[in-house]
Parts: sequence; C-alpha cells; structure tokens
Amino acid sequence: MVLNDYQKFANREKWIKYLFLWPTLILLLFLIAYPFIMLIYYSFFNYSFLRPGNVRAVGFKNYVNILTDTYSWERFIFTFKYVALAVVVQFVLGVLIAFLLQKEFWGRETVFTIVLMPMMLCPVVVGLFWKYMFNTEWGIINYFIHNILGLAQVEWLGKEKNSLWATIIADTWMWTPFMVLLASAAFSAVPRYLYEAASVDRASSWFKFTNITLPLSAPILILAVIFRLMDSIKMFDLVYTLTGGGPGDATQTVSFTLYKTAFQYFYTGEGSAWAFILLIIIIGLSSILIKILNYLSEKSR
Amino acid sequence: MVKLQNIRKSYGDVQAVRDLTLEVQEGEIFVLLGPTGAGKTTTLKITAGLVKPDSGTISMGGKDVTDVPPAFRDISFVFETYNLFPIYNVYDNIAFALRSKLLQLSEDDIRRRIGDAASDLHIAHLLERETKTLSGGETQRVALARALVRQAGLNLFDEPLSNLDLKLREELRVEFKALHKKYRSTIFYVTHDHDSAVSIASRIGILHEGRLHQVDTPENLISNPSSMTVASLINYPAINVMDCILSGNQLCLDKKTPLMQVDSKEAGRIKDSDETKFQIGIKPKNIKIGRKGGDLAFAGKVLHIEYQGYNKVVNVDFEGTPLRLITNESVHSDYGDRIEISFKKSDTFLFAASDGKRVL
Amino acid sequence: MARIKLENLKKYYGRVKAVDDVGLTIEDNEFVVFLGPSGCGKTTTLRCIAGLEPVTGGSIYFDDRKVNALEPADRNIAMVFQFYALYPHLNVYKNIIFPLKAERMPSSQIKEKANWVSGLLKIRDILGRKISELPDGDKQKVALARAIVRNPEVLLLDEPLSALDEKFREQMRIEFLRIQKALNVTTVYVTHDQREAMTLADRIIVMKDGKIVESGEPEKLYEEPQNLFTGYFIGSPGMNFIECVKEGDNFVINGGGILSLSDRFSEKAHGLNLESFILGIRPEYLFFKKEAGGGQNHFNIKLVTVERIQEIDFGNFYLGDKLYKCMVEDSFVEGMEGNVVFNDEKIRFYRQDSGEILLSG
Repeated sequence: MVLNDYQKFANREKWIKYLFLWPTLILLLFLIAYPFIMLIYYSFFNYSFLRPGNVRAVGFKNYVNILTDTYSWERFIFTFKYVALAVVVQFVLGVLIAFLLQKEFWGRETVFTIVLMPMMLCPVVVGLFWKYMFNTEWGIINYFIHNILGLAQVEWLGKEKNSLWATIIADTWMWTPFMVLLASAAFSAVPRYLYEAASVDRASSWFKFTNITLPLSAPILILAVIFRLMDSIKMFDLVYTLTGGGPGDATQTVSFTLYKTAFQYFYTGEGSAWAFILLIIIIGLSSILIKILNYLSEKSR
Repeated sequence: MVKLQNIRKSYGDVQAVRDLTLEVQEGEIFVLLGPTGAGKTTTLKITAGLVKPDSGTISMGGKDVTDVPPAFRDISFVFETYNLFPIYNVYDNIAFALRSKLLQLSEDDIRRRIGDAASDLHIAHLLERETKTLSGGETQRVALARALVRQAGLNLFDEPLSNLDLKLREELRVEFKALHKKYRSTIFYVTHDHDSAVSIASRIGILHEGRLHQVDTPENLISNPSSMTVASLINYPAINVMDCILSGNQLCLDKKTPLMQVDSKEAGRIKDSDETKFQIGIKPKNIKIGRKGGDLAFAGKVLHIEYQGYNKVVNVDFEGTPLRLITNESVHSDYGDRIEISFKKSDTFLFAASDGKRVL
Repeated sequence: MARIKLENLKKYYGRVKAVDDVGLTIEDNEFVVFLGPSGCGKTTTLRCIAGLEPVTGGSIYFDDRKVNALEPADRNIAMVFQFYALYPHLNVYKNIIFPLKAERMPSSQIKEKANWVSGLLKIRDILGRKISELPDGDKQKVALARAIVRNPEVLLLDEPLSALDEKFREQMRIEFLRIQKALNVTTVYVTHDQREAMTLADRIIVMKDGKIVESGEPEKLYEEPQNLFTGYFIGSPGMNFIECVKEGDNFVINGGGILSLSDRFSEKAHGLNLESFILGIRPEYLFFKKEAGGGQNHFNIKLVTVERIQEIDFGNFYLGDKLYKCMVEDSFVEGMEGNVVFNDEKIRFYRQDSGEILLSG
C-alpha cells in the first residue's frame, strides 16, 4: 500500500538530498570558507601581495596599528556619521513619500514607478553623474543655487564638510526608493476597517498615521532600517566614483580604506585585518538589531 | 485506526499540546472539541504529518508513522479555509490528488470517482466553474468532494464549517452525517462549535489548553462529565454554575443559603477530596419554573427572557448568582418579577472549584 | 436617539445590486437587526447608514435630516466592527476615551463617562491592559465601550460576535441584552445568526439578494412568517417545506399522502385556484408517534437519524426524496417506522414562485 512505497521513496530521497548538496558545498568551501580562513591567516602577517617572499609573522601588530591610529578612527567616525545621517534621512523621507502615495489619485502608478527608478540604477553610474551634477563650476546643482537663487557657489566635492553631505544626498537619492517600497508594502497591509473605525471616531489623519499605520508597520519598517544600516556600512562604490575618497581622505569610508590598503598600497596583511574588523562590526551590529527586531515582534504578538 | 501516544508540542514558551494520548477507531467520527487556542488544529496537523511533535508517536493501522511524511499516510485533509487551488477549476481541484503518481489511477477511474462524489455532494453542475466564482457553501462542498474522492483510510477535518453562515452550517451537518453513514469512513474532526460536535460525533474528546480532559460519547459526556471544563464545553446553552461550600451536611451558597443536603457517603467523598470550595453545575433544561422541576425549590428575580422561537431562556438572579433555565411554555414575567424555580439533586454535578475535577 | 429613515436606498457595484431599493423606518431607541445570509446586502446597508459607502441612489434621513452627503464623523454615529478595530498601541482606557478626546470634552467629564461605561460593561479591571494582551471576548467589550461612551444618536454593529467562539457569543448575547436595556440609543445590528436576532431584536429585518423580505417582531416572524424564506431562515431548525398538489378535491403531499384539512381551511384552499403550492410547517409542530389518532394528518415514515439541537431531539425522515424534520421524544427511535402527525392549525401555504404567504391555518 501507500505506506510501503514510503520505504523506497525515503531511500531515494536520502540519495537525492546529498546529490543536491555537493555543488553548493564545494562552492561554499572554495569561494567562502577558504578565502575567509586565509583572510584571518594573512591578517597576522605583514604579507604583501606584491612582495610575496618577504613575509614575517607579526601577531596582532596589524590590528593594533589600525585600532590605535587616529587616522583609522577618523575613518570609523566618518563612516558612522555617514551611516547614521543617511539612514535617518532615508527613513524619514521614505515614510513620508509612502504616506503621500497611500491615497488613490490619477497617475498614482506612474508616479510610484518613477519614484522607484533610482533604486534600479548601478551605484557606480549614480556616483558618476552626481559627480558631474555636484561640479562646482558647471554642475547643475550649483547652477540652480548660484544663477537662479543668487546664493554663493558651494564647493560640494572640494570642501570636507560639504563632501559628507554630497555623499549623503547621492546615497539618499538612490536608496530612499527602497524605504518607500517597504513602507508602502507595510502600510497597505494595515486592515482598512481600523481606519474606518477611526473615521467614525473623528480621528485626524495625523492620529490615524501615528496610532494605526506606524505601530502596525513597525516590524517591516525596522527591517528596512536594518537592511539600510547593513548596506551603508559596507558602502564603497558610491564613494569611489563620486569623491574618490576626497577631498584628501575626507570621505573615505572604512570599506574604501580597506580597498586602498589592500589594492593600492598592497599591504595585504593589514588589509585583511581591516576586513576582519569590518566583518566584526557588521556581525555585532546585525546581532543587536535582530535581537531588537525579535523583541519588538514578540511584544506585538 | 490511528493512535496518538504521548504527543507533546510547544511553540516557544507556549505548550500547545501536553502529553496527549487518543485513538480514533475505524469507521467512527471522532470530534475534538475545545475553545480556540486549545491545541486542536495543532493536534490534527500532527496527525497529518504537517507538524512534527516534540515527542510522542503516531501509528496508523498498527504501523508507526511518526516520521512518515503526509503524502504516505493515506489521509485526506479539509482545511478551515478550504485551500482550493485558484488556478484550477473545480474538476481539476478535486482530481488533483487523484492524479498523483503514488495512486496510479487512470483518467477514467478519476472521472468515475469524481462523478460519484459530485452527485453525493450536489455539485455536478459546478465541475467546470472557476473556484473564485463559488459561494461559501459551494466552496465548502468542493473541498469536501476533494477529500471524499481520495477514499483515504483517515479523513481529517479542521473546523470545515466555521466560515459558513449558521443556516448553511445546519444543513451541511445533516449531509455530513448522511455521507458518513453511506461511506463508513474514519473521520477525525476538530471544532469549537458545540452544535457541530454533538450532532455528528460518535465520540467526542474535550481538549482544553492542550490537555485532553475526557473522551466519550456525547450522551455520556453530558450525563457524566469528569470536570467543569467538560461540562461547560459539552452543554449548550451553557451549564449553570453556583459557587458553594460544605457546611455540616449541607451544601450552601457562600452567603449561607442552604441548597441541598448530602448523605454521609457523599459527605465522606467531599471531605476526601481535600477541597473547601466547590461549584454546583446544573443544565438549564433541568431547572423548571414553579415546583415541577423537583424537590429543591427556590425563588429568584427575573432578569431577562431570551426568545429562541420554540424555547425561551429565562435569566434569573438567584441570590446574586445568575441562572438560566429553558422552557417552552409561555412566560409572562417581566424584569424584576419574583419567580419560583426548582430542580432535582440528581440532575446536579459537584465540581471542585480549584481544578474543576468532578467530586459528586 | 434618532429616527432613521431609508428611502429607495440603492447601492450598486457595477452591475451587482448589493442593495436594491430598500425602504424602511427605524424608530427612536428601537433595536433593529438586519438578518440574512452572506451577500444579502445587510452589511452594505449598514455601511451606507454609517456613511462609509456612498449610496448609488435613494436617501437616508436621521430625524428628518438628510445625511447622504455627511461624512461618518459628522453623523453622530458609533460603530462596532466584526474585527474589533481597536487602536493597537493604546491601552484599553485610551481606546475608550479616544472619541471623547476628539470632541475636546473637558477631562473631568471624560473621567466620568469612562467610569460609567467601564462599570456598565464590567471592564474596570482591565483598563490599563494593552489591546494585544486581551482575549477576544474582552476586545469586543472594549470596542463596544468605545462606541457607546459618547452617547451617539445611532449605534451600528456589524456582525460583532461572528469572530468569537460559541461560548463567548452566548455570554456576549446576554451582555448585549443587559446593556441595551440601560441605553437610550437607536441600534442597528447586522448578523447572519438568527439566534442572535431572536434574542436581541425589537424588530428583525430579513434580507435576501439586496431586498427586504419581511420585517417584524421575532415572535411574529417565528410563528407567522409571511414569506417562505423567513420561515426557512428563522428558527433552529428552520421550517419544513413540502410540495403540495391539488388532485381533484384533495390536496396531496409530494411523496406522502392526502392532507386532511378542516372544512374552513379546505374551503379557503380550494378558493385559491392554484394547482400547487408549498406547505410550510415547523418541526416542533410535527410529532412522531407510532400510532396515529383519527382526524389528524398523519403520514407513514421511517426515521433516518435523530439529531439533538439545543436540548431538543429532532428526527430526520424522507418524504419522496427530500429530508424533513419532526419532534421525537427521545433519541432511541432512530431507524423506527411510524407516523408523523400534525394539526392543520399550524400549516401555512406559500406560493411556489415568490414565497409569499397564501393561507394559514
């Protein structure tokens, strides 16, 4: 009977399971496990890719150098400043735009598609054309500020403080659509009858938003923030094309510094240490955030 | 036919099923009755193999199937939300399981089976329709047909009638019972609806907070409940509850109103239970207006009268305790009127107040 | 307190006539229940009264004031929804007083009203709790409290008990009765559960396919339904409907035998000049007896199954190929052969096409 077929099926299943696993296991081993172990290994040497012969074990020297150098800390601080500001701005803007797009209006779908387009572009491309837009003499942004509004020209990519904001603006332009997308999805999942009850109770739109929409969307919104935080910490390609790390090294994120160390100066060993430190930061941060997310979803259960 | 032994299942801190042991016999309709959250759906899904228990075994027809996936257990399952495939029409939905390679049926066999099931369930005219054009009752019948054609050894039903209007539910209950009589299938049915359970079940298991309280025929559960939980779930309208204590050889309401006497044997049993607070349960239909109900007579105040058509339910305030009685005579009392009620001692049950266990 | 008048109310969704020319008047303080199967238009009618759905045609008046154009917030109504619709992040107390704060009531008055309503609904001990922690029955009580706290003119309830377990439903029905007596508010309640309608309503409005079938007091609709559908839908179990044909001087039941009618009734029935109609009689007026007495109608039947519905045993039997119900004394008669007996006083004749009443015994 059917139960007896199960034995045959179960045996065949076991065999198929392993057949499907092997390719992935091999890939994982060679593309992730091996490089990762080598990364940690190299970080304890003063290994340089260009001069493979002259290798000496240096213990934790690479790590100590990085963590005690004020230069490194400036990079950490910049990265955190950038991440915090960018994510906050993107969150607020994203939620606001999603709020405005909630209502049905003529052309809503077209507007929605246009709003989402920046997210589909390649970060390198985005960095490049924002670089042109931010050009002090002939960039379109300064044209608008100087020639139309009559204010002084802003040296976007030339001054240290401005370059931080230029990066944030370009990043926000590219990634706010992500927030809008997730916030819209979260908002549309809120049951309609809650709003109806609020209407009957004479609630204002603001009350409905803060007491119905936001609390019920919180899990997805927080997830979106976590996504953006993770992504921003690693950010490299935008900086590479927009500012090249400049002016000087003002906009060098941790990722960018890692790149320079490993592939410009070819201090492979030190670069490995940077990479590992960055990994620890990301793992640490994501653990905390996921714990927060779990805690919040438990509470709302 | 199917035996669940010491099944345990927790979700995080919540124990959905606690040490459950039950058996569904061949050809019977076994109903698991309990409130929402009692663990009924979890138990059913464990029986099906859709959920793995933390510990315990499941056996079907004598064979251990605890690790066997659902497809190999020879079962059918009707979900609370029917779960019809929206991309198929009615015919293909019903035929879906029959077309599985495990069953090896020819298209002719399939067509015949579906034809029989469709005429049994009066849906022959719906076979070509798309599922989203069906009404609630029709969707329900298609889901039933899909289970029926499998001719499975065990049929599992998860509250299949709860999404339907009251009237449809009543009609389908009768058809359900008639179908079972015709096919003599083994059915494991879970619900929170008392009416559905009592009208179709061969045996009922009372499930509350993951624990099985009692398993028996509906009549036995009604006449001999083992705990307050059983009594309150199996009786509709709800059983009346009066808090009382033992004072000498009398059971009294807390406020020193004597209710009934107990003889020495009964008093002995009460004392043996080591309990101090008790609850008396009595069904609304056993309380009568006037003196016809029995030798225990009391007076109360009328609160409201619920008109039910043939029956009327009179809500009475008896010394602060609300009581309900059912009668089919005309009641001409109004709110606040004095009313005489009476009942027999033999119609009462005595439960311990702490854990609800039956004492007398 | 308000008189509600619906005049030629129409609500169409494209070609679907959800509400098809509904007209009725609900008196001040009346408790009216719209009763009907899913899709009959009862919820849509309620939502039109609330202002949550714009009407396609017709008018709605509160106390002779036409309210078609008014938003729900301006109609002085309160509503209880099927799924509670409580503000998830406010606690019970804040949920209840919310409508009062929206009206900018002074806080001393708010406290007083909150106190009154929480006492009435017996929810004083859960005022501080979060909504997500409450069991379903309590959630519905809070929703009700929020609705009545500001003394609305009209209280609307959309299947408020449908989402609850049977046990809670029974308890809440009694609560509703108790609370309704304490309030002075015109109440419109929508349900598909005729037991709720029978218990709560001053007047039941039976609806089907967007139209009103019949309206009246529960007792009258139960004993003397003017329409076949009312007899079917009200009462648990519903009325038996048996086809009847005229054969010469007699009336014959489909699959049964000859009807024995009193002279007066027979005269009226012959006067109808119809060939066939539907005989309606409630199961509780059909009695199963082994032997039949003379003069009464009786038909020989075999009981297929016995069903207990709310403490009464009903027997199922076939006449022809249709299943009907009758009263039995106990459940041990299952499978027995005997007679089903009735008097013609309780018979009602209905038209086959429209279901309207023709004659009653």
